[in-house]
Amino acid sequence: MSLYWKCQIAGWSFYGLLAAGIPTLYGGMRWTVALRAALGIAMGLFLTEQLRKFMLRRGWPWLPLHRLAPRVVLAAVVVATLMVLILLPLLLVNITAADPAGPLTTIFSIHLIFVLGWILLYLGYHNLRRVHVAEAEKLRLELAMRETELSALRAQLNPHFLFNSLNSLRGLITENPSHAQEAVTRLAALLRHTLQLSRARTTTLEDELEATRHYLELESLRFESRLQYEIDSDLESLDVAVPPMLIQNLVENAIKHGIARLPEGGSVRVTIRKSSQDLHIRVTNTGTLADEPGKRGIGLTNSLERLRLMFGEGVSFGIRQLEPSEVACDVVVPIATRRPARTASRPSSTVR
Amino acid sequence: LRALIIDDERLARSELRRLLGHHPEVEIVGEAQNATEARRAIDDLEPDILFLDVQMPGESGFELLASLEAVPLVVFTTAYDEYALRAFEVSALDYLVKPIDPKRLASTVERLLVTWRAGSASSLPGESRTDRAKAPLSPHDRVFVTEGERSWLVELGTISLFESEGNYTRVLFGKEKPLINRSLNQLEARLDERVFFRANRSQIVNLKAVRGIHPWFGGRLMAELEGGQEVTLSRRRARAFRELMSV
Repeated sequence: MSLYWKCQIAGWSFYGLLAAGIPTLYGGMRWTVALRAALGIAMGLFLTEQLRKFMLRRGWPWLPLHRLAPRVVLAAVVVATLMVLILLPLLLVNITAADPAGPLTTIFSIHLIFVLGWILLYLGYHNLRRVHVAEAEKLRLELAMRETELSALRAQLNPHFLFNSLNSLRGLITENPSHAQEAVTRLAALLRHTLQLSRARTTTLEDELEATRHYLELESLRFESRLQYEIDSDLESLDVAVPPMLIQNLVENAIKHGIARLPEGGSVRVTIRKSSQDLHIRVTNTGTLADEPGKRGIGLTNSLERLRLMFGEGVSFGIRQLEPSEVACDVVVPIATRRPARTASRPSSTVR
Repeated sequence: LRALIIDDERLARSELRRLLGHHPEVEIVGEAQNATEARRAIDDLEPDILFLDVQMPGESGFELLASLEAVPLVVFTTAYDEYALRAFEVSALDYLVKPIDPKRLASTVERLLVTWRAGSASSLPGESRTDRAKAPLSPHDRVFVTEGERSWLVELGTISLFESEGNYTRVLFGKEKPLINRSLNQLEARLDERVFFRANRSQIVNLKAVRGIHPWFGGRLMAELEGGQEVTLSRRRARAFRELMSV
């Protein structure tokens, strides 16, 4: 049984006890007294339940105090009057005084106080619970926010990639010095791109593709013939805003979940297409999706959440098995030259 | 000290080879770029030490170790330390983070030599490698055991009891009792019967871990282990045990 009904029953039982007890003290127990108490309880339960539904329908719990107060008083008067009127025949039978007006006023006042108390208790509890729920919701949102923030930060600099690259580089220095020099330059460019992103909310497609190319070249040092790649873009202008690291992260995933698991390796292909309003980014890799259920879901959810933070609802994100041994990841983001919707720029104080 | 380098990246292998070039005590007998190649190389070359990359395509380094009947000395190599923590729990000899620091490698090699000399003193001199492959596993041989996120490299000698659980076997050592992916019969075939004694249909007991033997009803024997466990020797095995002891 809900707390509401427990309180209802306890409260109206107390009412019934008073309604039966007081006349009994004055004039002894009579069946009319018992009937009046029982009818009072039934009336109370029924009327307050109707009142509750009415208040919720009219949104009373959400009203400001100055508009709520007169409504509460009026409702209490109406309900108390109704109760007393319906009980009136039974009440009159039990009033022994010559003039029933005095006792009736007292009875009405008691009913009024009872109903008023009921409304205040109900609204008070309702409000308290709403505050709690809101608080919990706020916490949950903040947590989700921080989570995406964190995963974005983590994604910026994958230590595994960095140390593997450095290790390959160390080997390359004696083996092929000029190739090693080139790789150092690439790594520097990639790190610079990554570090600048911590300041910028967006980057241009041009910069992002450049960084992705560096990234793929560096991974090629590790994977050698196991990694083939291709970047294919049909855009004339690359001056389109994209979330930083978006393409690079997709490629990173393609390598981590695809190529790195295959002893024979495979290929990664980045395709960029533009429609009238959207930018279509597709990253395919050799491999199968079914490898790792569950684990992949979290990364997907985070990526989607990040995109939503940046672009609002106009984004789509999907990953699927394109062919028996090829996985495709598709991202569609609305095109906004240079600047996307600024939904992402929320005050940092809410995050700290 | 015969070493096998296992890493999926050619540059990483050649870099380690070059670094090990400064340590003539270590002879590199081969390289492997995945677990399958490594298993073959371990069978053919019988290395004393594996330099093992944890992350590889297909099977990981841990999976490779778990599939080996006996694990040689192992040094894990890893680009980032998320796996290294796990490696430490297995009390592997050492681990190296890539890029490898030559000084760190030198101290690792030094430690390896100490362990290796201590270990090889116990095996018979003049025993050829091919003989050893067919010979039963000695108490100094080690098996790699994983359960959930935890893993151990266990010397067979420290295992007090093997208990059959279907196609798996539960091994008791210290306070741990994980399952290993081999049947009790498979294990029995490779274990030295003078140390690891089949007590009954479902248990093999390490005789060195037995604290006392008591006669039991029906011609059976009851062995009490150091850990407090009690193992009943079936009538047939009790007879075999008496014979073994009387020799």
